[in-house]
Amino acid sequence: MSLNEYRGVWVFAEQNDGRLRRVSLELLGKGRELADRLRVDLVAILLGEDAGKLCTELIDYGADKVLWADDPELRCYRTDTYTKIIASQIMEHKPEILLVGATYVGRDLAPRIARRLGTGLSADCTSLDIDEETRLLQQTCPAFGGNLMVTILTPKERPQMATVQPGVMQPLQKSTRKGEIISIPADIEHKDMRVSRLRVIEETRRGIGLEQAERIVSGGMGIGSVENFKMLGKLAELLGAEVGATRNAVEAGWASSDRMIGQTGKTVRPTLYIACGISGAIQHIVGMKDSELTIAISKDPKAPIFQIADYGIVADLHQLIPLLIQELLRYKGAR
Amino acid sequence: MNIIVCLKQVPGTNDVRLDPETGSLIREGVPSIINPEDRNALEKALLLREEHGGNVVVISMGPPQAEVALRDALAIGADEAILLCDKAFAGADTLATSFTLGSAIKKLGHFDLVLCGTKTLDGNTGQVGPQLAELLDLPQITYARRVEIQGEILKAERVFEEGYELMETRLPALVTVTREINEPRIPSIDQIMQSYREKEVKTWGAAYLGLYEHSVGLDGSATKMSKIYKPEFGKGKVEFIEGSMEDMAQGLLAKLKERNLI
Amino acid sequence: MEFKLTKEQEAITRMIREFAEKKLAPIATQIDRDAKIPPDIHPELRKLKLFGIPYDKKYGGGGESYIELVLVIEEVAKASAAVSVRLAAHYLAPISLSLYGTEEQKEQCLPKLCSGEDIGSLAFTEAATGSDPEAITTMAELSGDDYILNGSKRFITNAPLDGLAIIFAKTDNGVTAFIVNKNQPGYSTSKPWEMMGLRGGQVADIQLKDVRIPKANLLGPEGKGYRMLTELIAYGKLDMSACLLGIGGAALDEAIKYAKETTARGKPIANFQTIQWLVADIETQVEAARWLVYRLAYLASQGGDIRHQSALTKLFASEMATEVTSKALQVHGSYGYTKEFKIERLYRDARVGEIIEGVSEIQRVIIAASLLR
Repeated sequence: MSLNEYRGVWVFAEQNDGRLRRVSLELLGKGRELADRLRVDLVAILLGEDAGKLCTELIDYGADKVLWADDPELRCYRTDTYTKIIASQIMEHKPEILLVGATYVGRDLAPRIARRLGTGLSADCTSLDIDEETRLLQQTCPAFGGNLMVTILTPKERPQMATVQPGVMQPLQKSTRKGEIISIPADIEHKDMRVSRLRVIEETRRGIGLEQAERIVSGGMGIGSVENFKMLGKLAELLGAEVGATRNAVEAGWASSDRMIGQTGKTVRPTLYIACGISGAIQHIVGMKDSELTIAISKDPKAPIFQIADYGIVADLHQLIPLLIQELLRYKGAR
Repeated sequence: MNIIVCLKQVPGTNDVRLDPETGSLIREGVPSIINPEDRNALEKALLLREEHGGNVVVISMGPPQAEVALRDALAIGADEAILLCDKAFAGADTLATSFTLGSAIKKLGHFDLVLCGTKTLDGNTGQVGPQLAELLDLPQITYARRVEIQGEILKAERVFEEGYELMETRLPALVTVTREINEPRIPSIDQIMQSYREKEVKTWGAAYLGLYEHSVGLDGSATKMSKIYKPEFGKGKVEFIEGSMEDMAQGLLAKLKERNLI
Repeated sequence: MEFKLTKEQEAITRMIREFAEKKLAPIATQIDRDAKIPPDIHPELRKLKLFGIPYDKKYGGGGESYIELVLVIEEVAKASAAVSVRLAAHYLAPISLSLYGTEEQKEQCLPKLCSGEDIGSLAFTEAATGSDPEAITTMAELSGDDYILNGSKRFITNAPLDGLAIIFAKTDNGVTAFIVNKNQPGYSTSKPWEMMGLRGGQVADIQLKDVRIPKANLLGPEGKGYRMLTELIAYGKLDMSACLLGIGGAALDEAIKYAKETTARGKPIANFQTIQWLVADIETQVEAARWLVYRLAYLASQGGDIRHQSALTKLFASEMATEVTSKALQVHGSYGYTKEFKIERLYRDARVGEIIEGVSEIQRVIIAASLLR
């Protein structure tokens, strides 16, 4: 393989039900930086039907080019069709980097593409850097529940592929930019339809937008029970916040798994993060350390969570939270 | 129904340490277990066997010590166990791992279903399942929280961001399962003893599989680890809000007001 | 000499630990608070075949040794000492039968005990006796082909749970052991005692009022009950030592966890030498006890007299457990004294070790007696 034939940074633009996933925009933000440093184009590859508007959006968020396959069969994600189209485009255009969001689709798709192309793939990256001389992508991702960080290189195969955790990279400011939209063939055959989606069951309980939430009230083992978790929900509601939970709290059955924040759960970066009864195990901290303002409430003044908090309160939650709720209600009533 | 379950032996804790001199992982003294989601996959295989009859083969790539994980799987109820073990397999990334596993599955011949855990506790990449499906040219369903089989048709509920989707495919297929799918059984004392005294773990190496050394292990891997380190966090500037319970509640609200958060 | 577990034994430890962590640990606080083991736990223990591990397969046992039994009790105790004591106390019944039972008695009683359908108890202690055989007041009087038992027993673990009790009573020629079905007319139990620790263990008094026992249920030689008791209680000490070893191991785990997770002045308290010394002492004591207990289990599996060795093992294991739980509590500081932390329960659970199956003072007497005879 002649590595020099491979040029350009690609981002898989994931759409769900006609809307772009936010992580795709985040990847464009990072991809733009990488492409500029490598002095190459940033290309988004989008599969979907009637997605012209999305192509423009991708350009507005930083793409130089959008490769778009337009076909009714691409409206829904399918492992086989998506793998086939993207892998064949890569073989034709030879990008040096392909970034994919570590979503349920991305994690299904990226390994399949990597295997087909025989190239390397890192998972759930939280940081990407480039060595401009060697053009090697330094892919850093957590292992062992965030207890270790590993930096991975793909020295001899191309493209260098990485899935990236949603919520970690920052999208660019949206602005009107110039870019090229290139139509690519879908070329779907019957044999690519081996798996079909019969129906979708949306569950509101699944944390819609926990990653995007601006405010999160989160609970750990110190909360103590399902009932108390409901009280936390009340506090969250008054603050206009989403409820999050640690892995232990989820495993204790106090919160559903979609609420889990941390290495095995979601990565969040809200403006406000209130950690209640959370000791601050690394596995949790990796998922929320970039919160803008962190307030920690715990009975144990030695809990590690206080080390990463801006404000700390050492108190019994069972007394403090009802009081907070009461004070908030009074404050809201007074306004 | 012939079912193949892929499993991996992983450290039973995430609290791992690095050797301060070599920078490599300290594995001594860390107990090993079957990767939890792989246990769910095995449990699903056993339930399907109870329903449809057939045979459950567990297969793992790993060092000689990984035999323990396969013994556990035999105790839990698997019919056969195969350990893919060879010095040449060491240092494999997911590309090389899926190649080795896939080669062994091809050698096993006929099967209806391959089940894997979605992710492992240690690497957490979730890549081997889909890569194996690609190699074996199988339809795949990942993140399955429910699986049912009727005749040749497999239906699965696949978890995604907004809920779940009901998927359907035709056997043979590969499915990766989540922890939600079931609660794995624990073998009784006599099943554990039987697996050690009466059952066999086969060991297959590169030569037996007819694989060249450059296509497996470290040489067959596309990724290289360039750095491994302990992350550091900490702002270290916490300001405690103190006083009576009322003082603390009001103090907190005052901070939120200051920042226009309420 | 080989100081390591076999692969099978390691697998037992691994699997029972998984069971204990998944099923017992989450409810251990509840068991302690309510002094009650939820009814769904017993079937789980039966499914794992934990009630007849060292007995012959022809009686429904596991055909393993006391080493496997000790490993199981240890792992269960780490999560919930109360549940481990149910097992430990149960085993006194099948041990009695396997040592002294006739073939008919074994065939009749062991299968249900080994499957856990019957839960075993051993009843010697009375209100006025400690370990003094002369002070026994429960009487067995011969009436035709039956014995009629009258009297009461104190602090009997598992007494209210269905199954078999081995009950000691006075006969003409001394103390004699009887196999008593706990459903039998005339057998009744008090409300369980409210205990400081091992809460959930169901320790109650037994009242025996005209309990009719056929001669066929007389266990071992008539009038030799006290000698039998000293042999049986040696096995009780073995099981109890395993339970104490589990409690000690759990205290070590808790101390390490707390030391690593808790910070003072921005550093984990594990960095402080005072904490390091406590943790080092705890492990040293636990390991010393571990190998005493495992060796005793080995000796028990070989057959033969283990009275001396079991006395010193239990003496050491019980003092180890009270000391290490105290040290681990100290690692926690004030938090260790709250009910928020597991160490508080372990500290209470451990304390009975120096009392149960003969107080430490008696163990010293036994040890000294066999040395200075």
